[in-house]
Amino acid sequence: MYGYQITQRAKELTEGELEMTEGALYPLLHKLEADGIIKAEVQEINGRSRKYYLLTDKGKKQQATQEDEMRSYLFNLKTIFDI
Amino acid sequence: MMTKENLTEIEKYLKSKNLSSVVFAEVYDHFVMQISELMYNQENSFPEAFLQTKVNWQNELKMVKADLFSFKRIAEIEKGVLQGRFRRMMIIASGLSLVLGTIFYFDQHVYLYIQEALIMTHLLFLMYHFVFRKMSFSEYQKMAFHPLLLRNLLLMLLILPLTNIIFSTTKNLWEFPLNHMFVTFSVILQIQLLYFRTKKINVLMV
Repeated sequence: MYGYQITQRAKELTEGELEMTEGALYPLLHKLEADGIIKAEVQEINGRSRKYYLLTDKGKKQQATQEDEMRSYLFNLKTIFDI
Repeated sequence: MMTKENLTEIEKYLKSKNLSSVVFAEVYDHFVMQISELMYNQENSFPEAFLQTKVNWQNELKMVKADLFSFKRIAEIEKGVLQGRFRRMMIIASGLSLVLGTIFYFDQHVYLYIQEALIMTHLLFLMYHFVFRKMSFSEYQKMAFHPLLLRNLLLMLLILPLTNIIFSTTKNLWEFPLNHMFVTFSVILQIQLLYFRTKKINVLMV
């Protein structure tokens, strides 16, 4: 996915609840790239360069770990609120 | 559909923001996509869509000082990217100078060998830049005023006299590991700056 697509997808999935600011998105993408979590591929689209971001193996592992942590956190919260 | 003139107008506007080539390419693509969507989905004219996009991006493209010790003004979005890079460079330089400071404390000979190796690396990098015309001498002079080096210099000027006062000594200042750490920090930082320049990664060199 490329930058603009990420902002639109986040908006679409959360029905407009999550609006990513570009000022936060691009520095974060560059940081994740430097940390080896994502890698970038540049493609020429209609005469301009477009940078596509992909998860690396390290990134996929981290994504799985963080998803588990988030699920466990939400489960615990739900348990507390259901009491 | 956007015309060639429209694209040139976007390009001209973004070029005025002094973005590095990598950030420029991404922001340019983002602008074109965002404007296109406003034109097609909301049936705005190009000037309306362009204006709306500029308003959406006004905080990100606001010109600010790159760093407290920087003389350069850059866009806020570039600052966000650069600050992350600066932090990483500082961590590497601080960690390595701490290790070398510890080595100096235990064995000055080993420390001197490592320090020589670092200085040689720095000189080799410089030679590479000068021989292959990657950097002019005036650019090298400007590198001496890099905000990270200025920060180190300022800290050094504050701490060196303090070391003298705290230890109430007139002994040679070079006998303190802390002072060597500052030198190591500066050399490692310069190696990193030259390395990033070789890789064409923006670290605010000139």
